[in-house]
Amino acid sequence: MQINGRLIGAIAICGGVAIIAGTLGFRELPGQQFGSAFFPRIVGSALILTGLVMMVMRTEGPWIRVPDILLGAAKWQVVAALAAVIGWVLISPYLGFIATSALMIWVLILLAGGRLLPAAVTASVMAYLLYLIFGVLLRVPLPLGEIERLLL
Amino acid sequence: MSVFWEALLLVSEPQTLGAILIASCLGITLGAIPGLTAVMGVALLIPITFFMDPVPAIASIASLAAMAIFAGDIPGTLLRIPGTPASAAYVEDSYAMTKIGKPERALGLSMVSACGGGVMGVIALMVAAPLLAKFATNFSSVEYFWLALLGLSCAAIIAAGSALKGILSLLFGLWVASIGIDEVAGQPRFTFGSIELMGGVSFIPAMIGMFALPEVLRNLTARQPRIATPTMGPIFAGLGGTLRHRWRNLIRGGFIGSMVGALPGAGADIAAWVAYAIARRQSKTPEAFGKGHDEGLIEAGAANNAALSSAWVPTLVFGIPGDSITAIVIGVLYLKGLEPGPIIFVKTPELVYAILFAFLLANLLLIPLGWAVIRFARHLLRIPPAYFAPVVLACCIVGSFAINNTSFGVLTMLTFGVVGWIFEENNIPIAPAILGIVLGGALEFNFVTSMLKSQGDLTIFISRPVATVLALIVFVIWAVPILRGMRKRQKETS
Repeated sequence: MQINGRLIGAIAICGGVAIIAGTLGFRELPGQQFGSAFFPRIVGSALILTGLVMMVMRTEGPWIRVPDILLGAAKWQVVAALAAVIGWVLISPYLGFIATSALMIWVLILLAGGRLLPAAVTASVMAYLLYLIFGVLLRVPLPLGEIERLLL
Repeated sequence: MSVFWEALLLVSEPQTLGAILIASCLGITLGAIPGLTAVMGVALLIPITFFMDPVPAIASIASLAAMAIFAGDIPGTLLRIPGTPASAAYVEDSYAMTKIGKPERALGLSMVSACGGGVMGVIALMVAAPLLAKFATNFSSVEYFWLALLGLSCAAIIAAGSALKGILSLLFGLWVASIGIDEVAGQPRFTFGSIELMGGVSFIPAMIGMFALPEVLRNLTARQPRIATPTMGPIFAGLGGTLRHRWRNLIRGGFIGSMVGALPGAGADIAAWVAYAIARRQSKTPEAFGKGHDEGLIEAGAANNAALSSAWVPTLVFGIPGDSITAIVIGVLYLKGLEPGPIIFVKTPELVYAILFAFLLANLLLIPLGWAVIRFARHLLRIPPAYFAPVVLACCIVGSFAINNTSFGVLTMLTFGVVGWIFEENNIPIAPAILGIVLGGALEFNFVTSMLKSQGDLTIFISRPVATVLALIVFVIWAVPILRGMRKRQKETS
């Protein structure tokens, strides 16, 4: 998604204003000259200034341009990848790490044009390998499911 | 001498040697797969280094980066798809060699040049870093403020394609750095009521998201044609003769790489392009460049890996990253409780020298591992992105989860990944944002400390000679693009 320079400038100005507005509620310490709001206000002001410069600069092209690749079926792969991350967060506490990760990898490979069986093998092997590295070797408390309970 | 001995003992520990070997294998594999870069590899390695001691952690990052940068030459040579931006400088020459049936010659030269250049870069690092550190031990909060600002300015203005977009990225990073409880006043800043944000945005999930997720999305949507890889002859045949004939290119490439790499914000990409341009200018046959000539390949290949090593000079001595990889390294050093800067040379010199020895070892490992991966490259290049991109996404998820053992890290990675993807789509560089997140706290702390010391008198920032020089450099870095822009605008209107 390509955004016109002027629109990026406008977004930067809005961001800068929002940051400064966000600092208005910060309490000041008595006798402290440079409080919590000082640094974020500098950042916000610099963002507004940068946005203004971007807005006055000559830029060509539409406000927003969606790249050709995202106009076709590929856009569903992007959506699926992003949705898969949210899906992992929601499902993994119930299914466990191995099953959720294997399912996610398998679906994404199929969506990207992979074949059924190699996709299933890749997904299972890689999910188990990641579990071994992080869950067993590094002792990260990954979400537990039935498969992990069987392995423990 | 005892420091060197201690450092050697640290490197020779099985944990360190094992980490170097595993990271090297990982780096050389990742680099050889088109679409996977050294920075992304380092980003994915960080969650694992989180559980390691400082020396194996840093050594594994250095090894992975050195291997991946060389391995990026493999898809460039065989398919004309540069594996890393640094390989793009000489891809025409290496691919032309493949077209005339000599891919092993191109890859052999790349491998030996990378090893030679890398060793030269490490020597530059070993000589320059301690000398500079000795000079920098007298720095106060004022000099540290200017150094942090210098690093941020270099990354945002010099290294970025568009200075304005670089500044935008940097300001985003600085804002992110201010999220969380302000330690001085105990005031929560931009936490939006979230308890998870009270401690600030976790650097590792943010970094994984910004560097790795855009690459996953790009690879998922990429349409890769069916690959026909050429057969490979003996890699070392005739290599000695060529290098004896071209030793000047090798030395010059290593030297240029060491010099350019040590400049904050420059990195291996710029070093490779500069070295290639100089090789062409100095060559007796400049017309042969781009048609399978070996001079540019050797010189830029050496510069590539030399820059990778020397980029650690400003990183270790001043805490200013030389490139994207060292920006990540600074974050890791902070996480390990090692504040990069001259004090690290005084407090824990054995750790610094151990890191340097590890770097040397990684560069020497390039020859045997490089040989193995070149033999195996045909199979690696056949892996379609459809298979590895989802696996990389799973690595991003588990890596982000592992830092705080909560799903919040995964959501942070996703958020920053989407931001990183939008940044990349609009040619907004990511490295300044990451640097802003890493150095934002130090910048604010040193600024406020200096202001409190001087009771609000701004002249403290130019009260010492070194601070004045640093201020002048920062001023020039900011003034030049502004003046250039104004002149360009004047020309356009007239």
